[in-house]
Amino acid sequence: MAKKYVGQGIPMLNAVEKVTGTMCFGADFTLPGVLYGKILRSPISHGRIVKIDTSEARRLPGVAAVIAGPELDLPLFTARGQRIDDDRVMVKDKVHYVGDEIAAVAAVDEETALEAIKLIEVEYSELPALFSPEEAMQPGAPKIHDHLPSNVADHIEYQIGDVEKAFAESDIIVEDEFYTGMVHQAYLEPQSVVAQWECTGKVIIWAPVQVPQSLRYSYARALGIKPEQIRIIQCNVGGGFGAKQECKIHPIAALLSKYSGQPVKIVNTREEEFMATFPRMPMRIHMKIGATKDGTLLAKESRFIGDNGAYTNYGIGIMVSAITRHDNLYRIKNIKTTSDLVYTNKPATNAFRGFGNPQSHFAFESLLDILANKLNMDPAELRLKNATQTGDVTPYGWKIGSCGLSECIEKATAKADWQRKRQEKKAGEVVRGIGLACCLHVSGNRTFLPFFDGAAAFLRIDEEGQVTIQVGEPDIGQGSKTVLAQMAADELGITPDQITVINVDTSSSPHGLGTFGDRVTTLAGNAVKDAAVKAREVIIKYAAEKLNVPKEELEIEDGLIKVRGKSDLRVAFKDISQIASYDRGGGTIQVTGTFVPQDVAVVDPQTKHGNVSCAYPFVAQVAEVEVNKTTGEVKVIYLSAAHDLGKVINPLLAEGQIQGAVAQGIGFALFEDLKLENGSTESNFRKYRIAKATDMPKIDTIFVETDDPNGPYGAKGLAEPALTPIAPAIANAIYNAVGIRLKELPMTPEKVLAALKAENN
Amino acid sequence: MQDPIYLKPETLDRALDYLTEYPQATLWAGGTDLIVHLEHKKLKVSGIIDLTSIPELRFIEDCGDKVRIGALTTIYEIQTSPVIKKEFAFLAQAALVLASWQIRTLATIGGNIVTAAPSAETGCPLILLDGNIIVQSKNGERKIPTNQFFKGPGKCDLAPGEIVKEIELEKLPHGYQTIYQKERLRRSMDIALANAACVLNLDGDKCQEVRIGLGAVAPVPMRAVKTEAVLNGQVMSDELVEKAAQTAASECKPITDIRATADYRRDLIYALVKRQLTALWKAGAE
Repeated sequence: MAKKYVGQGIPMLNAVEKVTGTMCFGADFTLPGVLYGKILRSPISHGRIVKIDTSEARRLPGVAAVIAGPELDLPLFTARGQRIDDDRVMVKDKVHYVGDEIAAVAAVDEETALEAIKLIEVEYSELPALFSPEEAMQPGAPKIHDHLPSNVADHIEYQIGDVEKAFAESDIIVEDEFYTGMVHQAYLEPQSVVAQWECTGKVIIWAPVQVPQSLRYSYARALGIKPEQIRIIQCNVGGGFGAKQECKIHPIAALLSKYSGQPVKIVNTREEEFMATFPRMPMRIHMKIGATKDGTLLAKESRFIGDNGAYTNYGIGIMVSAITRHDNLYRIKNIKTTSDLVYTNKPATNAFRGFGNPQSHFAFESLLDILANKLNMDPAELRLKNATQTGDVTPYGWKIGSCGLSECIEKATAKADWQRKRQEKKAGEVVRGIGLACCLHVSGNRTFLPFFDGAAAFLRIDEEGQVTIQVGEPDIGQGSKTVLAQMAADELGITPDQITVINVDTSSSPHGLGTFGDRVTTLAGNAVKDAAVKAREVIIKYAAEKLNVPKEELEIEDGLIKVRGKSDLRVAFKDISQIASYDRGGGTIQVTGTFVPQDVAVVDPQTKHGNVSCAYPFVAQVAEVEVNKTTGEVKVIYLSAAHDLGKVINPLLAEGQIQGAVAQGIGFALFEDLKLENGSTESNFRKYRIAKATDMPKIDTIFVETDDPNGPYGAKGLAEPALTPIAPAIANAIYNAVGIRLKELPMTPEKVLAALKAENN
Repeated sequence: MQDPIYLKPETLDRALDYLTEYPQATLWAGGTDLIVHLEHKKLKVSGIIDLTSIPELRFIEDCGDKVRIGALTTIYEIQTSPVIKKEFAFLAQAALVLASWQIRTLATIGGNIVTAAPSAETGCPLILLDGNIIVQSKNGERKIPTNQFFKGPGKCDLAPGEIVKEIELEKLPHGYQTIYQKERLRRSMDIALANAACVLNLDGDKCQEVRIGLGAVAPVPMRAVKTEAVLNGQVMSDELVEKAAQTAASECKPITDIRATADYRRDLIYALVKRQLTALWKAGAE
């Protein structure tokens, strides 16, 4: 059946609400009688709490509840499904970084709550603080978490093939060290929550979040209650990028509600966002690659050190993703990897668009460029020679059902006029250069959430023929509500605007794992498609009865059910919906669609072997830069981005994803840097620079459709890998322009100029 | 805690009355810095005198040999004024790169100079021009030469009870060229890591007179007198420009902060001065 809406660039179905500013986001949501919560955060990086006195705060008029970690002795917990219990909703007796939650106040207004916070007296006994993983790994370093064996939260070591032999057989070996800095997701809407602890013991949390169902399990442990006591109602999300998962302000608001008997709202300030939410994990990566003279990659050895910050959250999953994923991009058979995930007295790092991949690909794709240069080989040719192909089973056991990597490289370079620009004469004060980088990703990731994989959808057709769909995967701004509606519209033969995909409410939505790992289009899409196919069967059955024709002869188009070839025999979708509803005593058509990907496995904890996803997207991006040799300034002037996303469901939204990713990628590459000042990462948008429209290059977007066997209509993920290659592509372009190799992000003008001066001396 | 007093005079005289009555009150010009400070609780105010409704302080007037600019003239008005563009092109260039479009429509030139940031966009052009900052108090008017107004980061020559009224600037003689540029980490909405302004009068290739101002590399926008001495009376050449740029880099007094090191700021001053002198020299010789 030809698709009418799948493949069409229809605007987001809720675009009008967004652009007119009328959409109610999580930070806008409120309830009658709501109190305002504020949090007392640690002013020191590391220390014991000797004494805490909340009595003055309690006496302040307008204060309804004061809670303090040392007084409550809350249980240890961590994010759902993760291994290390190292966190508490508020600290017990020790603070681990500047920003750590100690106590909280609920009051009639924000000002009173803030004033009460200032009245809480805390006496600390300071401990030496550790700001770098290398320092924290030293034997004898002060321990950040008393109950854990050391500051190394997780150590991984594995080997595939025979690395020693493969290096011995290599003609050329390149080796270098890279570092990626701490950057923040910088979403527009800060973390926010309204919580109500009802007298029955039921806790309702309204929050803009990516993983509502999982939060029930995390917070049940954090609060020492049962998951069935917790209901999460997802609000519209003003940007997530991985950060809007577990966040301690949610259970803190719940506790404040418990002790005040009223609903409590907390909205982070931007300063709190930078100080105490979840930046991307900085990594130091040492990497070595061996190849033959003709450019065949033989061996790779890497050592990763990840800056975990104060708590682990999804840190282990991020590290596993960082160390393993890029090894599946090219055909390398001999791999040896070591990694350490290390606590420091800094904010807990966590997921940020790419989940470890932007870090590892910066190192890997830079080192490949170094190798190409040593081989005197076109970097594009080196990649093409080794590129993974459709049908490959990688050394990690990944089954590559579709792979457009080679096509992406060819198309991205052709569009960017690669050959000519690469060999252009490089002279003058402002020099242009061009660089290529690639990456791959997953469409759903089985690695770090072992419970199950897949997705489900509830689809309901009411008596007016309007369709409501529930999935467990929130739309966090990327437009998945629209994309899922397009799929259902095609299967049901109606228009997308008759379909509403609603926010997740854990008391009525399917148990979806949520929005992360580029899983929504592929997994939830398949579930929605399945639901729509099943609902269509019900509609057709009733229509066949009504029209008195065999159901095989019926088709649905533009809201009309017709007998194929007979234009006069027809009935409206809307009328059949009513007939079906009334026939069932008012029970509207309701179906459940499911998708459980086959042949996807939880990764073996030792060998890291296992097919983590049902579909793998691939990307090649070419960046063109201008480098000012006197000031070190780098401008990205052009980018061609070729994406194998399987199938484009909505080109308008897909292009939007790429543009947004480019902005975040340029910030990561060139100027975003969450620096420590007196141990704190507190910042604001004046000091912390994200890319603005004026920093954006012209972007040519190229979609490569490889029609994945497991994706709905062939579709795979897109949003995360769109960011990953940008930093290495820019680094490679700088090298092409001025012959210097930047190995540390961000590549600020100051660092570029220093490298240029070092090169000239 | 008492709520701050909020007053909105419609004449300068009334504003001065209020200021006498509430000497601790804070003056609101464009509010683009003030509001941020209040929001971030970095500033406590006992009262606000909102000057935004005083039309007599918002004008640009061409008076023949002088140009007068009212203190409440917005940065956007400076940026787009045909008079400013003709007489002091570099002041319009500086206005164009100040913060964002939205801020430029609110921020005022009076506010920009009173805030006295070392990186202030209008600072470098103003100290290179002959003219005065005119301030008014109940006791009368006081004229402060533009190059003596800035006293330190956040400090200027403004006494209690005084309000900046206008800036009067003498026009540059015929043939004088000007330029302003800034270096920053991101291409818009960013504070200068370093900025520079230059006024140059050439006779053929000979430098008759040069004035160079450097910003964000000293406590106040500074005049690069040693660099000017290298150039004045000399015939322009690549070597001379190089020497001047190096002199500027060595005579500025930058600090290291979270945005850049002092050394890098010197590198930027070198680049800016070299670029500006080259641009004006080549343009002037044509």
